[in-house]
This record gives sequence, structure tokens and C-alpha cells, in this order.
Amino acid sequence: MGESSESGKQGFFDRPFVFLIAVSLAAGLACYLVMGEVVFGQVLYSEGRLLIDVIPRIAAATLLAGFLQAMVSRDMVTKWIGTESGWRGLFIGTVAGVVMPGGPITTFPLVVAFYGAGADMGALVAFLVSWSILGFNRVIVWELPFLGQDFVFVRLAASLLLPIAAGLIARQLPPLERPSDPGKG
Amino acid sequence: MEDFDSDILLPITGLISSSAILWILVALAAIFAWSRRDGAHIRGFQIACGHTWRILPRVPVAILAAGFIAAMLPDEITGIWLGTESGIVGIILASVVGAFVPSGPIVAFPIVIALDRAGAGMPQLIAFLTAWEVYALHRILIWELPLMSPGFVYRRLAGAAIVPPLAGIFSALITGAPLY
Repeated sequence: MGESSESGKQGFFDRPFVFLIAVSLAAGLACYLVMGEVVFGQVLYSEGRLLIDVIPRIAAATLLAGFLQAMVSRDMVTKWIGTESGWRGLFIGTVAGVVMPGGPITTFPLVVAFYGAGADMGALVAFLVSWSILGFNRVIVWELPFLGQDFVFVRLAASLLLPIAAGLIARQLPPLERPSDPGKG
Repeated sequence: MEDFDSDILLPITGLISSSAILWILVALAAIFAWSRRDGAHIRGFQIACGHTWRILPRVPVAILAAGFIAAMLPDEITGIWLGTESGIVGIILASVVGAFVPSGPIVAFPIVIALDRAGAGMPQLIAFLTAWEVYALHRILIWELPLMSPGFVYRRLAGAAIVPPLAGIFSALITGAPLY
């Protein structure tokens, strides 16, 4: 579990959270002073309603993402993107990015290791771009609860082919020297 | 299709039905994980608890902050620069601004909600969100540069540069929003 939820290991009141609380308090105070009591109250009411809508959906979404993450093995993804190139590589990189579980700590070193082992840069870039814009974890946990299914549908439909385009562009750039030992960076 | 993005965030009926769909998917995934007999259902539950512990206290704070900021944002200005009518100019502007959001999803998603309330259009919001996802300035600095080499990061960024504006343009084509 430790490897899959690296972000869950931080303390409850870490610095970003304290910063967020400070921003929220400052914005609330500014809103009260600038816009007045009525607008302040309206914001509290409408955000409260939004929370009541969103919290159960986030609970469902994190459960769904957790089960999916527990079932997708990293070895499976690894096998796919480690070797393929050409159009097939771009396509497989995109699909692998969608199902890749885990955060940046596991994903970035994996990509470097693949490149060292001979994987195609275009497929790896397609994989990384797909992982960041189509990755199921973020879509399920964040996008669906906050933005709704219409938004998610349009965005995914519009983005489906873009990792492939990114991989094609990356292939046009001069090749990067392959690290013989990924551990040395 | 005309009013597709007029109020994408709070159609209550849509929320309830998609909530039901989500819970059905949760049940299916749980059953499937359990039927594997390898403890995947327990691991999945533990992963979810770890995420929930981190997300749940932060979401109300972030939503409130976004709500207060959205209330103070002048609607006309957001509407002119990022509204549906802003077309491709708004999409490109959103792609640039979104790339510089220096934080994780807990802050980024309430910002998108705030922009929506202030009158931004769906293609512009999609370009904004995609730019944040692809560039994620904080992720580049904290993880990507240290864990990969600069040459790698450069190739990824160069390949990804067209992605946010294209996502916005394709979204406009799908929803029938004007491009210019």
C-alpha cells in the first residue's frame, strides 16, 4: 500500500493545507468586507449545498479508484510500454497511461528505466501525457464529483487522441542519450 | 446542445443519477476485487481510506476559498476573456494560465468551479484544466526534474505543448461552441 499512496503519507496539517486554510480565511474576510454580509451569506449557503452534493460522490469515487488500483498490477502496465514502438507503441502507451495506478514517485522513474532499457521516446511521452490527462484515478476521484459527467465526457472525447499527437511530436526531436543505468539518473 | 455549458455544475437531477451510477460501479468493482481471492478488495479499501483521509478535510476549505474568490471576481471580465464567446483566444489564454496553477487537485478543481461560476465557457475550462494536468508546474519542479533528466522533461513538454489548446478546440467542436 505504501508504494501506491505516496501522497497519503503526509501529516494531517501539512504546509499546503495550512496555506489553503489561510487563503480561505483571507478570501472569506475580503469577501465579507468588500461584498458585504449578504453576498458572504450567499456564498456560505451555495458552497454548503455544493459540499453536500460532492462529499458522497468523492467517497464513492475514492472507493472505486481504490478497488481499480488494487486490481491493476504495475507489472502488467510495465510489460506493455516497455517494448513497443511505432504506431502500436503510441497506442499502447496511451492505454497504459489511462490504467497506470500510482503517483509521480513511481511513474517517472519507471519511464526513465524503460528508456534506458530501449523503449521508444514517442511511446513514453504518449504514456506520460495520457497518464496526466486521461488517468482514471484523477478522472474518477476529482473530475467526476466536482465537474459532472457532461464535462468529463466532453473533455475525454476531446482528449482521446492527444497523447498520440504528443508522442509523434516528441519523436521529431533529436534523440536523448540513453542512460545505461537508470539509478544514476 | 446550445445550453450544454450554461450550468454544467449544478443540475441536481444529473448529480443524483451520476451519483447512483458511481455507487453501482463501486459495488461492481468491490465484487470483482473480492472474487479474485487475492485480498484486492481489502487493499482497495485501504487505498481508498488513505485518499479519503487526505482529501476530505481539504475539500470544504478549498471549495469555500474558491466560492469567496469567485464572488469577488468581476463576472464581466471573466466572461469576456474566458467565456464561451471568447473562442480560440480564450482557449489559448486558458491554456497559458492553467499551466501556471502551482498546486494539486484539491486547489485546482475548486479554481475551475470558481471560473465556471464567473462565466468561463466549457471549452475554455477544459483547456485550463488540461493545461494544469499536463504542465502541473509544482509536479515538474518537485518530482519530474529530480526523478527524470531535464532532456526528458523538455521532450515531454514539447510534445505536450499542443495538447491543452487542442483539447479546448476539440471540445468547442463537440459542444458546438464558437471558435472565433
